[in-house]
Amino acid sequence: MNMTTTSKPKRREAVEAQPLPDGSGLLFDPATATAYPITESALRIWQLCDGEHAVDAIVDDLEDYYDIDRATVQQDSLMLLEDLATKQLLEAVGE
Amino acid sequence: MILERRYNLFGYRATFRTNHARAEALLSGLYVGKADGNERGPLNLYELLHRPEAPVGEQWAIAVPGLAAHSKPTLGEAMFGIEASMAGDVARYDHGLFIVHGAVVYTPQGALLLSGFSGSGKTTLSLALAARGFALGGDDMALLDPSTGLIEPHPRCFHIDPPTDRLVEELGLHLPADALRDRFVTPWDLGVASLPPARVRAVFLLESERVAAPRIVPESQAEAASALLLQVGRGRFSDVEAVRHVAAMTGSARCFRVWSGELGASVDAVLAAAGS
Repeated sequence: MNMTTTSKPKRREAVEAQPLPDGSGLLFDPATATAYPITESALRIWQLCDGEHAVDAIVDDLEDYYDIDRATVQQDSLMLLEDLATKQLLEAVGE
Repeated sequence: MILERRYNLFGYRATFRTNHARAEALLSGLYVGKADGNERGPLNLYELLHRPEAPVGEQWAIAVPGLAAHSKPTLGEAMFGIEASMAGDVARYDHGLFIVHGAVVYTPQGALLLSGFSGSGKTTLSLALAARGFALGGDDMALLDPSTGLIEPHPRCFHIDPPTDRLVEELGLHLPADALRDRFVTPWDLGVASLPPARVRAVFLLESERVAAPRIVPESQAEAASALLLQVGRGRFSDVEAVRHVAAMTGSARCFRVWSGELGASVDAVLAAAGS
């Protein structure tokens, strides 16, 4: 899946997100019975994968929230989203 | 003379029958506080007969549910086989509890759960914690009650090889000679009777790799839950229920990843991390 800054990733409805008190979270895919641990920032990205937010908008949100330069946030976000897509936790990405 | 004892192990009712007093004493020591006073109900018979007249290597005859009758050469090996069979049946029994693979050590602040694959050092580290005076409920298997979030160790005999024995003895833990002779050391031999269910306050994920100086790093509750889920028996529950309940357990605990080093220093590091 080719993820770009204009992609609008959408999480698969069947995947259950389990937030933990320390901010981290688990994404559980019932189709494969696999639980993926994710970080606090990844969980924030996951919550924004609603098919409405483009990657650019997700990066805007994270840039506001974390004190990290935009280029790093964008690179990390794209890498994470590619990884989520590879694990088939996202639906086909719209533009 | 045939001796018979019944035990209630998390609802699984097991009957042990033997003609050997030492065998009966060993299992009674393992299952302190688990005697089943109810004479009715399923038998689930585990039988161990000593046959001195049998050829060498076949003098301890075992009969357990679901396995063909067989024999072992020593009392210790026979008892290990009986106990392992019972533990497996407890794990498979429909008691409505999750099976968690790990050692449970009790501290004044709550329970520590030490988890890791075979060979990661759970037994050595937990025995070393016992040498510091902490109650060790078991080194292998615990049961998580989803209705309370509390965990309770299932007592098993410790797998103590001579190097482990030497290491923990250096830390001041003297194991009974009788128990070592039969290679059947139990929490009872460490002075621990039945322990109550407890809330897990800290989870330690043990890495198999050894390092010169022990290293402990904070781990996220999600990573800890994910690691534990790889080794959880969920019984009647669905996968998603297992995720929720194990996440609830790690969600109320501090979680760490551990690379063990020199044993005394590793114990110090674990206790410091646990806040003891």
